[in-house]
Amino acid sequence: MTLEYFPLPGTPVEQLDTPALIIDLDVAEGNISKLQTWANRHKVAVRPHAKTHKSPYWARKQLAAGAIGICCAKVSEAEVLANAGVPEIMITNQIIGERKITRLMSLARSARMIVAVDSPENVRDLSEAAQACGAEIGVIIEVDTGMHRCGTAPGAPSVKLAKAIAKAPGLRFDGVMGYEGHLVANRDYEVRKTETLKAVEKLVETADAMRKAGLDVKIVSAAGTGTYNITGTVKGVTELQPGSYIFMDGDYLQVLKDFKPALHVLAQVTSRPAPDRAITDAGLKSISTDRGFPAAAGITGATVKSLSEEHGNITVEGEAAKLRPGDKIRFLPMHGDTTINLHTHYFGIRNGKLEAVIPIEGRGKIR
Amino acid sequence: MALTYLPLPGTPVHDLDTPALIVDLDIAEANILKMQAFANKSGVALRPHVKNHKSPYWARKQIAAGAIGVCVAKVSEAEVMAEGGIGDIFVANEIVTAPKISRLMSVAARAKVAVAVDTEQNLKDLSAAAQKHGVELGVLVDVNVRINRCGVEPGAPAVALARKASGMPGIRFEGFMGYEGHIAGAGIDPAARKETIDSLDKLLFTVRAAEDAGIPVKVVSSGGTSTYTVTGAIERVTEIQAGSYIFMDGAYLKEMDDFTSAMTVLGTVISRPTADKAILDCGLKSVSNSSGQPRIVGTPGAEFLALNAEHGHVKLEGEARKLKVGDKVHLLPMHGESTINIHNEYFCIRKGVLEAVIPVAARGMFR
Ligand SMILES: Cc1ncc(COP(=O)(O)O)c(C=O)c1O
Ligand SMILES: Cc1ncc(COP(=O)(O)O)c(C=O)c1O
Repeated sequence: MTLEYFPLPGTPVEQLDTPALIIDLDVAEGNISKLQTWANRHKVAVRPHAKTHKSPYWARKQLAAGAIGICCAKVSEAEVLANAGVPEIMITNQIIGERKITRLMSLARSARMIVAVDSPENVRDLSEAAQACGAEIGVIIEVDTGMHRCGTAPGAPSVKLAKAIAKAPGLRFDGVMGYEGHLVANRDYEVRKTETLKAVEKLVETADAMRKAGLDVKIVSAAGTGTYNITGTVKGVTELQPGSYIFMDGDYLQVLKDFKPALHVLAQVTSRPAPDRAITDAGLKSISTDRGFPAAAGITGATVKSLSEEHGNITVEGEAAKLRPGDKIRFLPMHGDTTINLHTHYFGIRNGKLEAVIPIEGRGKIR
Repeated sequence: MALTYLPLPGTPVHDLDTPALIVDLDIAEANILKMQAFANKSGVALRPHVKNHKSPYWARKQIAAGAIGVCVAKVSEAEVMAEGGIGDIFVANEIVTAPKISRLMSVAARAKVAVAVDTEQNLKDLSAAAQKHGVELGVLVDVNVRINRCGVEPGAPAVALARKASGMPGIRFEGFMGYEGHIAGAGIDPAARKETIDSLDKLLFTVRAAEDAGIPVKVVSSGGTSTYTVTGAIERVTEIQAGSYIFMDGAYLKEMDDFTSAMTVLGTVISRPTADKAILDCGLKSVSNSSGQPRIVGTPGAEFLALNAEHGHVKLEGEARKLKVGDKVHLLPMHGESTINIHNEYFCIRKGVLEAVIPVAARGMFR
């Protein structure tokens, strides 16, 4: 691996070299505890999604606060979490292909694994592999509650698949999940609420139909950050799987303000070629733009005009026109998940000073 | 580090687990040779920009073909190149902070290093550091040739900076660079060709003005994949900095066919929720959409609809409706560079089988 000249703990944030992904630890911990407190009060469990933070450090904080386990999207992410001691991991995605299934079975020997399915072929492949490895793994059915991504249709088709799982050797039927991803970022709370209640109802009814068919449904999992306090009030939902709430991002802050922004990219002015233009060292390789350009925080008059791979082109006026090369600016990314995936480390800040450099071990774990 | 179960050399491409960044070696090597042949014929040197491939493996192939050295955008990239055995490195960007300047000096102690400069203050900082570390640092004055990013204005301001650089201890003034990155398609579009010539005029008249003022100018560095035929044919330009030609991407292929597409992302169908839709395991964390949605190649009738963080939505018509869960498809990214930057390794294929797995060593090296 390459060199990393990290600053020592105690270094003031202004002295960090850039671009740097900085996390306000008090804010992130506040977000973790706020969600958990809400869930405790509403008697629903939390199994946070690690796709956002991709790091056992944060998973451990979520578990310490009371989460019952951790969700992730990929087998390689699960490997990172299991090897760091996370005892129960739910992959909220279909694991297809012999190589990945073999890895999943290997993991099932060191952690309690649960995986989502949506087809009988996949159930058959998982069952054969589990038997071959002598492992037992938990299986939940992903139900399409309206997002139209993966998932079986609610009701009878899902019940049929559940029966097949319950009969399959090596598999333990655990229940259902239905992520209402098409609603989590809806800006209008009333619409979000009405539509989410309808979507989650389909999941709960499907779970009830399974119970009527004699199946034991322990897990009914749903919700993202934008719907936690809607889905979490529905009777029959046993657990929530939000991810983004931990750090928030510019996009989610337009949906709800229950959680505070904890994550910024610290950048630096590298060139001041014109009075109204400042160039920074943070481009597409350190801030994602798939949900729009980042916003400059803590300074007025600075607007992102464009990002090339390694440069930010910033239009400056007023206060921001005073920026000089070497000055630092914090940017709030619009999409936290894909921005974090560009970085190798978090710089954890408390009271303006570096507390810890935290590796993003799940970064690039796409298989 | 986390586990990666890599497939062995000799594995057929269709047995690779996904998402995987695939490079066809024969094609990439032919692209390298073609650009070098052009440079040789035109009597201009080639100093490829490695921001695109981020890997000493490819840099060594470019140098073996005849390149005189490499360009990088960041000090951390320069570190990776120096450790990978590259002896001549030009940082085609402004390096302005104390930590980065110290690191640059450390690289300069191991390799021949030059850096772009656009302010006198930066020049002074570099000179002081070079003396302190006992190294000599090459400097090119960065001229704004209408890209309106970094760079001093052409003519007198650039010459004034060049004069300062010429006399400074620890500094070896080499010449000027001016990257005309705002231009696409100069090889085919007459307007773009004219804009290239006009932009390069800014650089050339600056060079003449410096020489008239008695400042010797050794290096005149410019040119990208879009402009190499025009810029490379200009007498006074001494080196070309093209980068993307090595693999090409969907965006470059729209404007030119001088080089052949060498890179795809291999993905797997993980769900077939409806007859006209497939869900892939490739999302924003394995293929960037900063220049548009990827294109599916080799599967007629399949068209990209949308990308989530870890899922790709594909519309299916005709033949493509035969796609089953577990089938693999190749995606051509529109933006190669920001796609490579989210992968940890290249899967290098020759004649359909894996020849080598090569780390994207400078991935995330944006400091
Ligand atoms: C299946 C699944 N569950 C949960 C989440 C977390 O949602 P959020 O980031 O909105 O909190 C995601 C995010 O994409 C997801 O795909
Ligand atoms: C300064 C500089 N030189 C050269 C290049 C390479 O250009 P291309 O990728 O178009 O070949 C770039 C790319 O962004 C660049 O920024």
